[in-house]
Amino acid sequence: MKIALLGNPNTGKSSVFNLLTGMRQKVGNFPGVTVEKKTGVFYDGNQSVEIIDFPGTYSLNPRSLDEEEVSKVLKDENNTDYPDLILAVIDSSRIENNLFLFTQLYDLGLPMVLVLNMWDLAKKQGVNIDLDKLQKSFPDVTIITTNARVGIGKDRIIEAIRTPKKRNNTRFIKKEENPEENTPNFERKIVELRKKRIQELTSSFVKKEKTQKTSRLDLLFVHPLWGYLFFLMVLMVIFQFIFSFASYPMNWIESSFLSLSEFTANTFPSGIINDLISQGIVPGIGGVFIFIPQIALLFFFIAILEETGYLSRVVFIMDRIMRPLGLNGKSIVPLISSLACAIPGVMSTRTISNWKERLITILIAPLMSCSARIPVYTLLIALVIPQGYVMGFINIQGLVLFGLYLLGIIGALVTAFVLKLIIKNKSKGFLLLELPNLKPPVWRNVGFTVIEKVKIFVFDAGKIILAISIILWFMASYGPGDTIEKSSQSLMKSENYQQSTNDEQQSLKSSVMLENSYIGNLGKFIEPVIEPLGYDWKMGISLITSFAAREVFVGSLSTIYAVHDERDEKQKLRETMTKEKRKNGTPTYTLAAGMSLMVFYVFAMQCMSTVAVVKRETRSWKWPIIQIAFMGIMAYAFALLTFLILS
Amino acid sequence: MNVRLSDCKIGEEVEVSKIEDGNIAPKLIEMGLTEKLITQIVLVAPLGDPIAIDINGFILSIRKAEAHQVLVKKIKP
Repeated sequence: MKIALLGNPNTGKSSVFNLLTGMRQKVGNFPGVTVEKKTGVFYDGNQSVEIIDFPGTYSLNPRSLDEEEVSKVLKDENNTDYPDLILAVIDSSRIENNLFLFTQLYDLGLPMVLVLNMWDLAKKQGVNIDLDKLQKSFPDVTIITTNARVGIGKDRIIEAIRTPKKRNNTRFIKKEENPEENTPNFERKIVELRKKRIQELTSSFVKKEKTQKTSRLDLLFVHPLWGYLFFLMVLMVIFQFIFSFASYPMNWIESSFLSLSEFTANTFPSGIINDLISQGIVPGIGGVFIFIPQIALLFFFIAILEETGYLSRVVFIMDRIMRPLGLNGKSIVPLISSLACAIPGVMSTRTISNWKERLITILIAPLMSCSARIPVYTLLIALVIPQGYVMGFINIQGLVLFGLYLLGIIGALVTAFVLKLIIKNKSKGFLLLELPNLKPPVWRNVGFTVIEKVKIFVFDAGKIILAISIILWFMASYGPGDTIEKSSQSLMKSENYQQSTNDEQQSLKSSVMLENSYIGNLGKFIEPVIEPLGYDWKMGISLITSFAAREVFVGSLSTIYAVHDERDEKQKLRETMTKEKRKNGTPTYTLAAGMSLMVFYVFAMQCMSTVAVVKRETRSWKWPIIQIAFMGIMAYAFALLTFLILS
Repeated sequence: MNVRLSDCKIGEEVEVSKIEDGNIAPKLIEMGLTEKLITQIVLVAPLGDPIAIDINGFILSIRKAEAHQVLVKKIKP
């Protein structure tokens, strides 16, 4: 049996879903589109029941991508996701509003169970519902009450699903009652008719004792000064957590994968398969896993903000500021997410109903400095920025790091403004946003959101990162003709090599191999292009390998500079890079070249996973290509400018 | 006398008399902003836009441009 779970946003629908399915849920997409489809399974005795959690919607007349998908599935009996039964969830305290979607669903004619959720809250707020009268209006629907937040009502739901009532071909609004199609204002008349009838009906069975006012906290959250300060503080706390605490599990993951690589390299018979696993696949998977702590932490906080209802207040105070830039208040969530990773960021733009506002948000999201840029920034900052303090207490290196983030954010906002002037759009953007009651988060829901987002990252971005890692491994291990072999042989004859220790010999060998590989040749090929920016072919190699994931930059440099030190490879790499000289004898990593490289990383679209996600979300290659182009031009231009100014 | 919802002050009790035709009208009605509704502005974002109105305990935020489409009568206290 297949059940569709439907309801307005903020009705506790996901609480019901999590209550029923527990850990037995998975996230996918509806066929052909990118709208998220959460499915879960629960058992009633021995019978397994599949339940699809549709995105929250106010009506079957769609106004966003999410809502469009809901109505598409429900109106097409041949759709693979067409349900046998509808489980409709309603926030009892707002029953009149919620009945709009419910009666639309009722008119589909499918067997239905109506869940009056938040039953206690409604009572507390003085909303008294006469269940008998409600039942009489919808005689062929099973009606139950629950408080899913605190886990009450699970058994009642399962029982109702087990023996659903048969529908007697009843409709809330009969087909012939609807106004004729294609008459002027047809859409409005339909909606008005339904709404009017609901209002008449509700007044017969709902008694309201008092209306509730907005809370005092709301006045703080939307205050012109304190509102923004509070939001800023929230952001600072979140990023403090992400950057300081995530580094422990990240270091642990990094070293685990390093030892796993070494283990496979030493255990299995050497050869191409061994190399593929230990140098291509294992580091590739490691490159995916390393981001999980930061992504999990970020979505942990975003889920809390969403669960408590605070996030909609943020949208409320940001909307007017974002609008002149062609964005929507709702763009704030994708943009913040992109500070961890652009992939979930781009995916969270689906709630923005206006196509132009959504598209601009997608296009600028990768300009926010993501966590993959951090290893690059920290390496280069340590290399070219002197330690010390400005005005006695501001750490210069920290200041530069902050400046890079700021540069990305400003770049994103300016780009948004330019795109707004260029991209044409017929329909005007609007904002219809519910400000739900502020309430403590349901930790179970927060946990499930984190798991869900991490899964999306691992499977969506992960497979591309892994694939590119393997391609890059191949390109870095093999070269045209027998140049690799020849140069290795001449290396082995050199005096320097023969006087080195075993480990050093290994490093020298990998360095020569990389130099003569396909990638090495590519790096030399692009050298004339990147020379004006202050880079040489070695940096060129690392720029190319960064396309799998930006942090690969560090690893590539380690290889090309033949760094080998098991105790502290990064320290050693820094020392080697400091000593590195150009052909004319001046240092390679000057302040100008280092800063130019960092600026390049701020703007360049060096992330194939993001390209793939943007392609999927915009349903064409046009936008990702435009995005790669303008980000590339920005990166080159600003890196060039930086280099010229500083040198 | 009819005024536009976008010109109302926070806390003023008003009755919706007419929602002008347009793309946005059906969506406002779906969300409960119907003619004859007694409502008031409960929150105003910094810079005066968007605003949030109370629809029988359901707080809906709309931009001023949308509120401009809504004509209301002030209820004398």
